[in-house]
Amino acid sequence: MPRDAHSRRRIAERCWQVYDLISRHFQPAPDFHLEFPEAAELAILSGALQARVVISPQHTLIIHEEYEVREHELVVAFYSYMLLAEGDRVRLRADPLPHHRVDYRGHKLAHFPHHLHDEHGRIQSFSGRLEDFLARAAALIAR
Amino acid sequence: MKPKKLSKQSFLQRVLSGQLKTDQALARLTEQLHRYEKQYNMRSEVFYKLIVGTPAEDHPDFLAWAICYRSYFRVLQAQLSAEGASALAP
Repeated sequence: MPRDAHSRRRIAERCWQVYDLISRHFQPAPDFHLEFPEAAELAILSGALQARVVISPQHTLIIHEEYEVREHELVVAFYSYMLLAEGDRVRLRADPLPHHRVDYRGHKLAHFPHHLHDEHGRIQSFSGRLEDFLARAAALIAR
Repeated sequence: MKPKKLSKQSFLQRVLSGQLKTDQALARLTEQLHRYEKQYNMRSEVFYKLIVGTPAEDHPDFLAWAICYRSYFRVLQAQLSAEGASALAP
């Protein structure tokens, strides 16, 4: 639980990064600018960001990040990123659970345990970075 | 007027103002946990013991449920620590 001012500030800054990244990659519904800061407030108290963002009439992003402060630095200790289509159908999702070691072609994951489940449910390598996930989601939507 | 993107300064001021209290945070997290418990007909502590750490955890709802469960305990722990500290205060 991030109780000291330093930890609270670090989490608030990470939430700003997430907010900024989403705003740059997509044009979320106007409510996003009211609702996301509320999610960030909860993140500061709970140590975990949980955000559901409508980015188009057909698509929703789900961003979950769990934080730890190690040696004064904020670390995303765990995450789950998802792009949902209508009916909450999963189009893309990423997480660092260590249950996959190879991609769907049998190649070692480039950044184990980070991996991505593509729209066909296949395992692919993934950097673990939110910006990469958002870029990939934007490309998928634009197709 | 539609809300616009916040500047970094406005965003940080807003989220660091401390408007959300721990009991409100606990209420929100409890509501989310109850939703999962109802959907999967399983109590959160049972879910956490049986599913988390196994391959079955690799499911969108289960990942979110596990994060929510850990979040709840972090907030609860902080609230209890704060209450304990204030009880010890002269």
